[in-house]
Amino acid sequence: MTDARPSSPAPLPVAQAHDLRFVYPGPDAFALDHDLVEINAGQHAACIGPSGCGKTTLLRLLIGVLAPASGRVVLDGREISSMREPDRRRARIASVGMVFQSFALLDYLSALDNILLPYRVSAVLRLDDEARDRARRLAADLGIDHLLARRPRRLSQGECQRVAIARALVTQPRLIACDEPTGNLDPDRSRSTLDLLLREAERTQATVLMVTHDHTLLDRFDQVIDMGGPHPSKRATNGSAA
Amino acid sequence: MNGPLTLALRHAQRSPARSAILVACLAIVTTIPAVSRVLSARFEQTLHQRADAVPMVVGAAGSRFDLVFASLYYRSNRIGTITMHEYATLLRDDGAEVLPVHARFTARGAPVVATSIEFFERRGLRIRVGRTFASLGEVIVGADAARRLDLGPGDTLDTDQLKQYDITAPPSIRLHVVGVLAPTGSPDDGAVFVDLETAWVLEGAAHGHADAESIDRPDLLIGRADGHTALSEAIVTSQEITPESAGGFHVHGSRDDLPLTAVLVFPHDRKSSTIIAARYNGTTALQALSPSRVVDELIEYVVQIRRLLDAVALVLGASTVALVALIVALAIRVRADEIRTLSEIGADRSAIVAIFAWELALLAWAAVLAAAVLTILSVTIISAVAPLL
Repeated sequence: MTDARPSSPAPLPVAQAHDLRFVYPGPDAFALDHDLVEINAGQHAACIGPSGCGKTTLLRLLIGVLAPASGRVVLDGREISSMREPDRRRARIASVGMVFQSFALLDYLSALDNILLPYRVSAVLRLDDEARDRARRLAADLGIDHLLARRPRRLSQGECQRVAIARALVTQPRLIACDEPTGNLDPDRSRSTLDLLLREAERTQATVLMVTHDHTLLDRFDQVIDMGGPHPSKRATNGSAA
Repeated sequence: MNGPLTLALRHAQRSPARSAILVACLAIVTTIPAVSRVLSARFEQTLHQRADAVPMVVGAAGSRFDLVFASLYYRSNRIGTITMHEYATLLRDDGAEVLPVHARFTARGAPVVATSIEFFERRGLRIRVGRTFASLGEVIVGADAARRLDLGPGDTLDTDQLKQYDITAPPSIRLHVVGVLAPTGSPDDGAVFVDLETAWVLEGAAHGHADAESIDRPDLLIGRADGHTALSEAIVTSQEITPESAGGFHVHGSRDDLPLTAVLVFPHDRKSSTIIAARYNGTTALQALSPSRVVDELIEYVVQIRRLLDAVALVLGASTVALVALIVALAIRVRADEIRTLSEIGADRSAIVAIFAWELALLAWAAVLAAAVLTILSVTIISAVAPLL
């Protein structure tokens, strides 16, 4: 189920899925079906629904972490569903910044090294002075520029979340994919983290796709993909965004 | 810097204790066979260098190893003696250059080697300080012995009493240092050199005491007749050979019967060599040996021991590799979340593998470096504490 808010000129989709079908292996396999999902450029989209309905699976399909059994997925103008796994990785690191629920910072790296992590693990991105400057600017914007030498264990939860947001933004991605980034935070902290994320996304003109359980945050999104319902996979089939 | 390398370095730095333990384990496993190989190679080289320079050794029948080790490396005093007569015979034959050696005594732990002046020329030994020995009781000290015993020209050196509780044994003699040899890196560096007469004094075959003609104490004088004087055993012999007392030292009996421990033989040609070997190896009291062959035989034993050490090191190495593999497998499991995060943000699979590979390579590199340092240190310390020869 999707609520589409009226928006000015019709933007091009950053992520798009047609006739999507995905089945996890195993006897009690969970299946996900979607006719159409579109996340438009510059918009903020939320994906909601009860636990186990396939929100995170849909997010992973849209950014190429998972490959669909059938259907077509287009990310930033490239059809990633037909790509080999290594090419999907390259497409993802070039076009998507990810924010995880548990922040997923590497504990042996400083905050700055965590922010610059994508540059160190892919041949697609080049770590140059511009990237370093951008990392420092982002850290300053997020108020953590004085913490760049610290390791995650010496940062508060909020500071870790900011480092994770900076890491997602540093490559200037078209899409920021967030998997319940406020799931562990109290309501006040959730709202301020979301404010921060959306503000930075708007500043960098990035599109946001966020999986969340928190319905109180939905007023901040232009588009909501509701995957809830009595028959999750079936409901998901009907959940299309336009 | 290479991205995965940076991450590997950061991870290794985060756990210095874990990294140090792994490096130490790998380094020790590498060091043990390396040290045994270096030492045995050095041992072989040193043994051969010395043995190859002397074509033949003639000495008393008995252990061939003892004869070669006593004559060339001064490492054994459990050796029988031959007489000056054998030396004189070889000298007369003119089929070879021959050098007498007497090496049965020590002075403050350093072997006392008695020989002729020609020995120094043949061995290429040069005097660094002082002069060569010119008379009875004078000693030239090898470079290491001089350093160890803090000796130089003008100092004195007492010989060691072989049998401390045998009152009939010849007493310790005080020698006078007149020169120090330049170092050669051979067993000569640890020895002290005297002339043959001095060795015979140490053997008790020669001695010095007050002029027999001037002794008239009844407890010391047994009798005089026909120009001969018989003195009692109670007469005190000199324990220091000084310019004043040197003239009083003398040998009783024939010079031909005086002892040597070996004669180093340098035959002029193969024919002479064959004749000399045949002559001595046909007797029961003497033997003529080729030091190279004796050393080859000894090295065979060393090689067998080294093979055993290599086998032990191989087993040790295999178990260490298995342990390292287990540690890597556990590390991968512990870092599963990190691998998942990297995969999800789009890290190249090769980059993820490279992070682990680099970390292993860094540890291996540090281990090799540590092993090299440990090997050099161990070889240096072992060589200093327990010289090979």
